[in-house]
Amino acid sequence: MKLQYLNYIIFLIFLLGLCSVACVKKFLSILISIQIILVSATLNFYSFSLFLYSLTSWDKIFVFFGLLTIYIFLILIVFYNYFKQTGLYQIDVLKDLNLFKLSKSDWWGEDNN
Amino acid sequence: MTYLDGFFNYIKSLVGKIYPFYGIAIFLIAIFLLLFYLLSTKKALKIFSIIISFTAIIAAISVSIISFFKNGPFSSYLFNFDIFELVITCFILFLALNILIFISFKNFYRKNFNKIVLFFLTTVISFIFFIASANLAMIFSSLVLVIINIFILITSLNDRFSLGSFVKTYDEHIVKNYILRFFLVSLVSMALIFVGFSYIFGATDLKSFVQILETEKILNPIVKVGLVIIFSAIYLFLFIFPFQSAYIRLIKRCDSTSLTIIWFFYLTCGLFLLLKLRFVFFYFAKGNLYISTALLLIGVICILGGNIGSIKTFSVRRTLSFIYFTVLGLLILAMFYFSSGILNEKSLLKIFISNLVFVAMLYFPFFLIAAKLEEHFQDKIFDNLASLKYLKNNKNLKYFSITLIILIILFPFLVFANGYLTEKGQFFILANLVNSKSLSQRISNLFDIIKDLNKNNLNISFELFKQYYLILIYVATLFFIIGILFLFINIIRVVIIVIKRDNSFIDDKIISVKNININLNQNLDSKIENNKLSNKFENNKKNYNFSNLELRLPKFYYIYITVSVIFFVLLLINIILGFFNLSLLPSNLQLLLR
Repeated sequence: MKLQYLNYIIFLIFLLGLCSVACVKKFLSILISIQIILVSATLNFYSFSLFLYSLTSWDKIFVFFGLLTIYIFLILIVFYNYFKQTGLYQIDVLKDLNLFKLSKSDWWGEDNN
Repeated sequence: MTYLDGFFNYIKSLVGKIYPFYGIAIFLIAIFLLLFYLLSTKKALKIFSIIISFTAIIAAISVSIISFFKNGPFSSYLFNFDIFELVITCFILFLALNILIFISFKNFYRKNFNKIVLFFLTTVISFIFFIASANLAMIFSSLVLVIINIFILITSLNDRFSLGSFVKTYDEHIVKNYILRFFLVSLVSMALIFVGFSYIFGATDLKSFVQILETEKILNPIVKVGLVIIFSAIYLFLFIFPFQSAYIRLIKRCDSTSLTIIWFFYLTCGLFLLLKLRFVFFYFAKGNLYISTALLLIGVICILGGNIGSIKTFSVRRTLSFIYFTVLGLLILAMFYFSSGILNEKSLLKIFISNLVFVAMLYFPFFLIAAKLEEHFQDKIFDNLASLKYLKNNKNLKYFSITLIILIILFPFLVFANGYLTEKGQFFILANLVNSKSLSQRISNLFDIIKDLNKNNLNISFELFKQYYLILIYVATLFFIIGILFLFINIIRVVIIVIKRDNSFIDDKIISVKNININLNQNLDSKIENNKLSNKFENNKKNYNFSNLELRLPKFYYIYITVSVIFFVLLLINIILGFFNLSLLPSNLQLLLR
């Protein structure tokens, strides 16, 4: 497989992650979307490394430390979410976590209630 | 050679190796001491932890400055520490000092106070690492570490109502969701930055932006794609319009100390990330029509959104947050002026740093008072600016209320006072507009530079280029003036609300907020708690007093701002005093960076 085609596929995966982050509303779906973006970044690092810079170890170091820190952040967010539950299933699960809302109240920060 | 000499030599070599991170070493000692009584709730130990932290921050500022002037700039594979990094480090430590005052006032009686101080110190440490980092991997890792620490700090600050695993009130549940939304957005921006770095690695295989600029690989389209993704991620990270929803929602509900963390650590971190990419920005932005237009658009959106948002709201929190957006918009317009050749690189950096200093100097005292009032009037009651008028009803607080009004009036100076002056003491925009010959000269110089670089492959004539830029500059100036005018209107509005003597509005608001609270909490059976809060508020409304220390502290800021304004006037009329360089004015940062 050529690097060019691989890059197209990776860019498509990246766009998929980006679109899903913007659209989904549930906590787990958002996490999975973020993981898709991270997967595209990691594939990008390794594809370039495989085809162009096979002798370097720089990409492995970057990917290791980058993913390590970002996964610590991700785990902390997950831990915070599941540690702080109300005990009422409906409230915890049905809450809308859409990241980019464009409604009037979200634009100016006013409460609906 | 005795064992003692060997030991001292070992210590000496160790100290030599950790340069320029002496400040971090001091913080680590403070954290080590804190660990011994981390879970203690004794008052004396809490005071001790405040003293330790204060001493550590002041020592870190002194040691950073002294060691830099002794050892000079530092550069290695991972880090770079020059005069610019020194200024930024001192600025962050200065902000940390102010935030620590805020934390101490607001959270002293909480059980987890020592833990909050510990998390705060770790945040400062990671921030210092981030400032000094030069390598791409180090920049990214330290940036994520800063955000992780800010996340831990904010969650522990908002862990107010219940210490167990279950959230007991509806309000707490809402705050939790807003915190999640806020940090998920920053996590997305981190992931985007990671993607951007992967493209830059793919095109160059180099380790820092300076190395990339030194080679011709900077013109590679894949590098440009990576940079576009990184700048978009910073846009998202700073919650600029229309992505502000998570930020605006959180600031309305979270603990007041968290606001200072978000304004002065989180958003400042985003701005410094922008400054870390300054060499790339300087390279691409100079005379680039597309970047200029994009910057103008973003600046205009920020200024309009920020001003309209602050005019629409009565909440102090949201007013200040939207004003921060306005300042951000003015900074982005300054970036536009750089790309159109009116400002040079050093002036742009001066504008960034001095404006951030000035914003901090105004926000801290104002919000210190606001947060105290908020605590007394219970949560959402202070949502309305009209509650400020309770200050005047108390005879003991007359001087205090006058100070507050003067502080509010001084707000416009955050635009005028520092950063927007040229070396000759003129406003750069007005000077250029009045003297159209110099503007024309600057644009023709810009055109010459672009022709020499031949990087944009310009096919347009000079006249067309000049006319396009003139239009852009006049539009930017128009919005700059509109932004400042709106800011003035906002300030006048706040002053009028404070001065106006009408208590009926606030009383109606109290009743309506009580009703909202009762309705919201029905689901979680916390009506009793809510009634307790309401009764407490009624008592607080009658017995309302500040402690002596709380009364005296804002005066320091007030004196600082007054002195700063006097120096500004002196600078404006070209009078520079002999001891000018010794004071702690934001203008001195300009002199230092010159």
